[in-house]
Amino acid sequence: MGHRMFKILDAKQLASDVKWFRIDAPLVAKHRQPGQFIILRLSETGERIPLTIAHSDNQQGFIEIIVKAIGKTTIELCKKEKGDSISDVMGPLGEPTEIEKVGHAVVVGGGVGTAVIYPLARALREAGNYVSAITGGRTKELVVLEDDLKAVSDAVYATTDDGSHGFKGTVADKLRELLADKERPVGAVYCAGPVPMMRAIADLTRESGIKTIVSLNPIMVDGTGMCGGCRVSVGGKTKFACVDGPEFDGHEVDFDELWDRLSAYRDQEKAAVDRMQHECKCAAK
Amino acid sequence: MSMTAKERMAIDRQHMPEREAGVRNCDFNEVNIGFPEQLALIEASRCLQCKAGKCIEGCPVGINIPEFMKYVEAGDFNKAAEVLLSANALPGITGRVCPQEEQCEQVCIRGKGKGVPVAVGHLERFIADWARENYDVKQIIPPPTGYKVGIVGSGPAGLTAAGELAKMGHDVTIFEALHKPGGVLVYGIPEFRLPNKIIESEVDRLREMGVKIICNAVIGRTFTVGDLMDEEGFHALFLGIGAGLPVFMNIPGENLKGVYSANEYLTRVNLMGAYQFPECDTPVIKGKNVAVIGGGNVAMDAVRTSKRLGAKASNLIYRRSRAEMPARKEEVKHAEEEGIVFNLLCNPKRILGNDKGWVKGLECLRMELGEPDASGRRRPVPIEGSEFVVEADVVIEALGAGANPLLTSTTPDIKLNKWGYIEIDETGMTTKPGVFAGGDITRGAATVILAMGDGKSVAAAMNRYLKEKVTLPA
Repeated sequence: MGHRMFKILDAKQLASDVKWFRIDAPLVAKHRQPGQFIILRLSETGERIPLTIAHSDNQQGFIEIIVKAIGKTTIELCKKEKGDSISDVMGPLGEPTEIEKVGHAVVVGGGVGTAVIYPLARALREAGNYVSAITGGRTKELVVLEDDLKAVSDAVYATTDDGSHGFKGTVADKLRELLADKERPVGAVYCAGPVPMMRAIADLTRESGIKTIVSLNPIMVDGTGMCGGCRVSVGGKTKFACVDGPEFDGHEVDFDELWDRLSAYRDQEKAAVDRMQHECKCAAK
Repeated sequence: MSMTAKERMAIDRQHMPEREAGVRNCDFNEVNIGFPEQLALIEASRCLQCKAGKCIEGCPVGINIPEFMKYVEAGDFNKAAEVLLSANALPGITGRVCPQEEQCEQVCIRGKGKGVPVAVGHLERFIADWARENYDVKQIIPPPTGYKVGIVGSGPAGLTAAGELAKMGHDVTIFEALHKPGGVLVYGIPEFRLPNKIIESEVDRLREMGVKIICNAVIGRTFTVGDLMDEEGFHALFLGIGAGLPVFMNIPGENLKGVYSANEYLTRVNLMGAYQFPECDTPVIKGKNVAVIGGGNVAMDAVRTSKRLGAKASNLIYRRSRAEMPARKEEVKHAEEEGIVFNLLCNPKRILGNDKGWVKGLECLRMELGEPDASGRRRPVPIEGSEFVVEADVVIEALGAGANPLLTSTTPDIKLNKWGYIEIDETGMTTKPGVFAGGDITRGAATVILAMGDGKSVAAAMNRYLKEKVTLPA
């Protein structure tokens, strides 16, 4: 009785398996700041998954998220359309990004990690920084939010591994070029994406000591610091990404451990997706 | 109808039926079955209606137990329910999880010497279950007072405070961070001890009393305490946010795959329904050999859960001896019956992993008991060179909980003690006027019923505060 559902106000396919949603969530939008995330649950039997808030509007009471269909929940979510509802949306969670004036700020997003750095680019620029944004993907279709980034950054560089769009190479290759530019020294790097990519970026800036903030994506359950499932090692200490993060000093993060812990439920995740696809086929017959 | 004391004394305590250990340890259905009506009537007639009535003082929420017994014995369950609900908003829960043997039943005159106390808890459970189907709670709600009260957290303290404040006629709203109300009752205590449908029905009764519940609202993030008081128009708040920060041992290997805090393990299974995976989406690593570290009720819950998830060996690892175990005796007994292996006087030294990052064992040291420590319990002392390995593919740490700073870090005007718990005055008010607190966030991790006792007494203080200090616009 009386459970409030969260309505999808708008939805847009950004790539074959990447979708953008605008969701009615006025309580979340009210205090949300860049760097924060939500935990959502699709239905009564659903799991709780964290997703970064790409954008929000306090006046109109909505939030926006960008989702890549990879597991059962994200695949189901990406089938939803405008007018559909989500059972639970909780947030905003996590510590907001510390927005400072560093001169030249570089934001680096890999795939849907770009949804994390897009609000940072906007906030960093509003704080008076010169913002360079690098957004990359394996191929052209997987580069997201490039136009949105253009609106909130001073320079945007799209990269693709196969050269089908923009710079041919990885986001790290592009960052290396920017770091070499003595005309415009880099003050800080903010990065979100797959773990190997974040590790590559942190390795690139480690020697020079340029401040490098990474937004981590460990497995979470409650999102309030109650379960400790999202623990990560930072500077040899255990931190809970949901309440201490999700952003940490990239030079201090134990990426190997994070990468390994992300694989804990790989078998179950695969079984869940296989089962869902089997059911879909049966239903279609 | 009226029996003599001698006749009453001649009746033995009735045994509440429970499901057979070898059957129940394979599923998540409730262990205890509950009294049938006939046994309830007999058991209630064991109460001597003694003048001392020490059971009332023994009850943290002060239920008038002799009066309750009188009505049960007479078969007037509606009156019995009224006595119960007027003192306790959540009897279906307390009837199941209260440590009655240390409270009402401990001081029962029938328990003196070789005697056995009246089964107060079992009868509470019986009437609560009857009331769920048959009792209309609206009959005890007065007209609205106009005061708006917010409750932060829907665990035992918050639900109790909400029920009490609603019974006083206040407009009550509960804020819950998770998607389902109940706090530790839904994420922590397993289905086989406290079915979720019992919690749901107690919560539904609060809704019938006019209590509003807003889920997915994290106070400290979605709203701050200041927002609720200054912008949302609440005249008073009750913070019942619990002690929800898992304690880890800080031994090597804790971040291996297969290591859980009891909070995470139990949340996955109880709140998220991982025991029904893949029907429910949340997975849990079940484990063939499970080692649970700790000796409290949460450790018992976790280790008994692991057995039900199909573990071949479910080991409890506790550093003291059985006598010092803080768990309820009933839980320890049930665990033993269900085939849990107790490794007493063992302390974990490190968690061992394989080359794939998974847990493969728990290295422990044997302990012996030395001099009593500050808690009065004999201090366990390691025996040098006694290391041995317990084979384990899942390790669960159930070492208690600390204060979660998520809310309190946003309220600089609420004073905390050195452990991060909220300081309150004798009425339950924090250093911020109009903001009260109770339960584990003020006392440290304790029991459901102590939190409920706080919820009740603080609600009474809040009622006085509202009437004395807050003037409503005419």
